[in-house]
Amino acid sequence: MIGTDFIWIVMIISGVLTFAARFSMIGLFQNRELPKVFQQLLTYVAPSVLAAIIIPDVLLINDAVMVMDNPKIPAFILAMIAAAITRNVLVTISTGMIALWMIAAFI
Amino acid sequence: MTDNAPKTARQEFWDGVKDETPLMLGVFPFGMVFGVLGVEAGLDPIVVMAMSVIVFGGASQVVFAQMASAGASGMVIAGTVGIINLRHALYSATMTQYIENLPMRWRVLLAYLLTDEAFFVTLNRMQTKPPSPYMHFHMLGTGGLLWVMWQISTSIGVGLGELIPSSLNLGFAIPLTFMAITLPQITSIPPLVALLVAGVVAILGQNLPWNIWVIAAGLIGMVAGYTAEAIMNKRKHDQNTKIKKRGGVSHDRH
Repeated sequence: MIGTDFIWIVMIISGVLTFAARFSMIGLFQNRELPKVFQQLLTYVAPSVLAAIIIPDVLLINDAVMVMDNPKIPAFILAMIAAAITRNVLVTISTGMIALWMIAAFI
Repeated sequence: MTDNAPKTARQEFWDGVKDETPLMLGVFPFGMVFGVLGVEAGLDPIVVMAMSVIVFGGASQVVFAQMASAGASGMVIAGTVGIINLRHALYSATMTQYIENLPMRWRVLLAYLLTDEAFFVTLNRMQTKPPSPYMHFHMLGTGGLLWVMWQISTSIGVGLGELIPSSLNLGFAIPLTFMAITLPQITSIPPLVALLVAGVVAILGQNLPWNIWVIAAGLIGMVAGYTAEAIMNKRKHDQNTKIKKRGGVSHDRH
């Protein structure tokens, strides 16, 4: 465990790096048209980056891919069905969480 | 006033708050999870709460706490947080196309608020509603609400600690929230390709150092989506040329 004073420094550096990523293009490229290829690539930010976060979150348990005995998978599929039908964020999250609790309780 | 009239700054701001509100069902438990985890990892409660202000990036804060308790070095921790959050540079590039001529203090503020949940909700507004000179107030609304709720939920997590049983699996609210944002975007084959490729890379890259798989999967997924789109356009183009050669009428002329 790193020291108490040092952890503040690590945290501030982490914050600066995070801010640098967020500020980069907003700060430097205002009013400049991005190259067409880059613009088109950016239209895929949402499905790509979110999939990169979602899929390991659902499939991994303790850093290993679990397909069997993974209650998150059926719960997630039910939530997807709810999302497709209702297009409602509240319904989607509630369905997924309640499904997970119920599946976990009955297994 | 019709729906198409440009909105005022105040309307944009409150639209942002309103559009962001449903996501709080996922964000709030996640903030609590981080608060609990941070204290369990042995971090000072002040450090845990300060991190939500200084870093303000959910997933990376969880990794920070886990790595600190596992005894990772400071450089590795900060580097990993930086790499996990490198994806925000992509959001920054996307957002800069919609905000113009803002003074530096605005750009600094919006950059600070540029989190996953605020960005995707405001991007949806940018793409689906008519532009207005006050569009950046929408981001102030989404990011501002998120910021306030993130601080409150972190503090509750720190305060309640073990009273929140880990069997509740509250962290699962985050992939659910992101899925609810993503699903409406999958309306054709190229974004589906981007999603699947990014997912496979994310899984295969789990053992790479510095959590580099987040940005790697994001970038490779984007290239895959772009490539799929190019292939489909070419095929469509080829088909049209064939029809024209046979003397038929192309339906895709515009």
